[in-house]
Amino acid sequence: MKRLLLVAALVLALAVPAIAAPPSQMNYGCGLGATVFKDGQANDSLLLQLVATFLNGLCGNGTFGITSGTSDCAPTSKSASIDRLNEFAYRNLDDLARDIAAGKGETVATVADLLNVPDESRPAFYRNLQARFTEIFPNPTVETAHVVDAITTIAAQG
Amino acid sequence: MHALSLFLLVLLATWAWVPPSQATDNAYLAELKGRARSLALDKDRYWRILLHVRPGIAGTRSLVDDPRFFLSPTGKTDPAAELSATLDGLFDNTAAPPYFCRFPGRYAWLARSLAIDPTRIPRPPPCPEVDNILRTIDGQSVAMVFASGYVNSPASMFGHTFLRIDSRLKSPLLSFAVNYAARTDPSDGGIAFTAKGMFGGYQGFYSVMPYYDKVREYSNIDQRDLWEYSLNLAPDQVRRMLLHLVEMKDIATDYFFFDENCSYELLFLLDAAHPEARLTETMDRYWVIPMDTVRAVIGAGLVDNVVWRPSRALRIRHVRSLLADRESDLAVEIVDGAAPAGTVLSEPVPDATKARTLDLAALLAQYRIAKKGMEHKVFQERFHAILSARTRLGPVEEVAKPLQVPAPPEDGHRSARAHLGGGWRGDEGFLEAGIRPAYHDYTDPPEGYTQGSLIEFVSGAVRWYPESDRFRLSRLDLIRIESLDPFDPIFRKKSWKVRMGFETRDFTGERDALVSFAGCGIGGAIRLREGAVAYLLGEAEGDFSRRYHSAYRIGGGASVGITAEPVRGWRFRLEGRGIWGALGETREGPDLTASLRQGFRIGRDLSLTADVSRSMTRRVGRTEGALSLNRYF
Repeated sequence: MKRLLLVAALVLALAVPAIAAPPSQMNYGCGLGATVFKDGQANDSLLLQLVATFLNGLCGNGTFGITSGTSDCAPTSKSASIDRLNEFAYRNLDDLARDIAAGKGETVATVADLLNVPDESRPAFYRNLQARFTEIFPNPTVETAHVVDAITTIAAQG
Repeated sequence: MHALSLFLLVLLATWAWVPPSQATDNAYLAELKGRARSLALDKDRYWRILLHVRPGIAGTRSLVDDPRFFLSPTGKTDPAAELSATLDGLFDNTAAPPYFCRFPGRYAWLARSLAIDPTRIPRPPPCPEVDNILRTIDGQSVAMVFASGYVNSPASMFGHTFLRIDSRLKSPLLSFAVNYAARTDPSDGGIAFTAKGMFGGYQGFYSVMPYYDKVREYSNIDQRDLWEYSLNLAPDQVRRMLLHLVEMKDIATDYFFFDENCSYELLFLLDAAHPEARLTETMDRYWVIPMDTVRAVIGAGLVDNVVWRPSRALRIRHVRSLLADRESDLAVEIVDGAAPAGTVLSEPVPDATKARTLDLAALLAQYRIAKKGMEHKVFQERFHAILSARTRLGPVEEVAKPLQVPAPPEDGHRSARAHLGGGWRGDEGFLEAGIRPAYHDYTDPPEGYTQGSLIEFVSGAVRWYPESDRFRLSRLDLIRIESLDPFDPIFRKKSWKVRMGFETRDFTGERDALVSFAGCGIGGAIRLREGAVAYLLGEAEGDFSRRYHSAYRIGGGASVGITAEPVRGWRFRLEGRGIWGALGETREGPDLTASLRQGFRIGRDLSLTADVSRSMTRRVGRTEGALSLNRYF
């Protein structure tokens, strides 16, 4: 019986990885297989994450299609909420562009939150962003810094 | 890069652990220890929570395996010694970083419980790290997030839970997620990965990241729905949780897939916030399934409301369902580069339809790049063109038919099942009893579970044939997983199955015998109509039994079938399956089976199943029927 079990275990061991997604791929399971950092970045500890994420922010200057990866930079702006806007735009640029083009969505609401746009003027703010899409995203390789500048300018103009 | 690395190095250096120096000989320290003893603080539930202690076979011990977590050398097994060493640490101002900053949760609790007079201890040092973390997170409330199961990844089948710490900002995307996960080695193959995951070969750590990163992981890349359960914790409770989280950073705990897993370890954080909930005690089991921890949290009265965040795949399907074929085909052409985005604008349809077409194209492009099915440069240009066209259409009125919120996972049946039943095999009656610790079958009530997935672990049934007074292990499935994913031109996914276990089968002219088997299959499925799926899988199977010629048979075949839910509460699966021997036992004919399994929902945790099958094994034909009552617990 023991031998049979062994053979059965072997067959299964060969079968499971062949069919199911190999665990070495990005695999955000029940904790297992979830590397703490993603995309081949240093597999580092919470401390690094706390520092990287909390203290420095993930600003960087990304373009469309950059959905992960960090780039180091010191906070450049005067206010913490603009730092967070930079970080948010950098990490969510594609979704933000899509929501701005559609004139609604969770990411534009998040931007309005960070810029303290009052509830009653939000619909107008969203319409404004949509109407001025080409100013915010003038070309396919536009960088986050320009996007954030354009958005804050539009928000300031009301 | 340099500035950051240097900063990190300095931080790491200053945070390196230094063993406690000799306890200060101090009258106030002795007084505090005396008071702690008389209050039996070492047995206090909160102290046990902070140390992650749970009673085990080997006696009371902390689940934490990292020696840096303990100030006393015997701290892992002796909460009293650890308490005494922690009090010593209060008077030790040589340590760097000060213990006070390293274990802020412990000292905050001790200060409360012992009413420590701040003037009689060395001046508490400032803890800029801790303050910085608390200020950045700005924790005001907490949500527990459940990511639905994902059958194509072995570690994600049962779903996943993590916490979301909400700040004063309204948008949840700006919240921080607290996750517990094993740090795996990407070079481990499937076998090492499975073995290490099950038996503590990996170490688990808590981590913190922006919630939008988690949303991207789950709903945008993995295509999994998220359920956000807002908890009614007050800001001071959230603060306690965070102080404890700081203590746990970088601290390793051996990871066990079945019990000391992502979901169980999170409960320590919730207990640290709200010890009266006793979540780690409630869920102290050998088998912790993420959804069961959510049920425990709901049961403790901690949940205020639930929000569903559909995956991007679901949103794509939904937008597509609102469009005619012509428009959805056009959206695909735009993403493929076969048509420019501007074509949509001259289509003879209302603006709302044009807008939806472009919305679909944008979502599809994002899906493609997330799946690495598109070049970066090409994506940038097409995505920009799609959005530029979209922005010319102005706002569009709300969708007439919004996405329907499915039944929340807590409305689903509980994850373990026991059944009792009886039936006939050939002309002999039997009684049957069985148990399945986890998790879900097509014919179980489907509410709250991922459609088209069957996951069973250590599912067995024994039978008693009264006429011949025989006991038989009818079957024991060690593992049985099936995933039926209907074909879709956008989401091309395979349907597959794996099964391994033991089963009693018939043999020519002899008595039945136990066969061990392992098999797998792969193929495709199509949706016939809502709730009905047909499938065809090519299969390979290895069977082992002394009754076989040369004791084994390796063969192949196919299965074809339908799963459907014609009306709510009645589900069935009809299947035909044949396996032909190719190696070992090949002299006898194939195993052919036609089976119909029906499930009837009686209540959330009660159902009835009716099985009928006709099989040809070793040229012996047999009809079997059974009826059983299932209780989920």
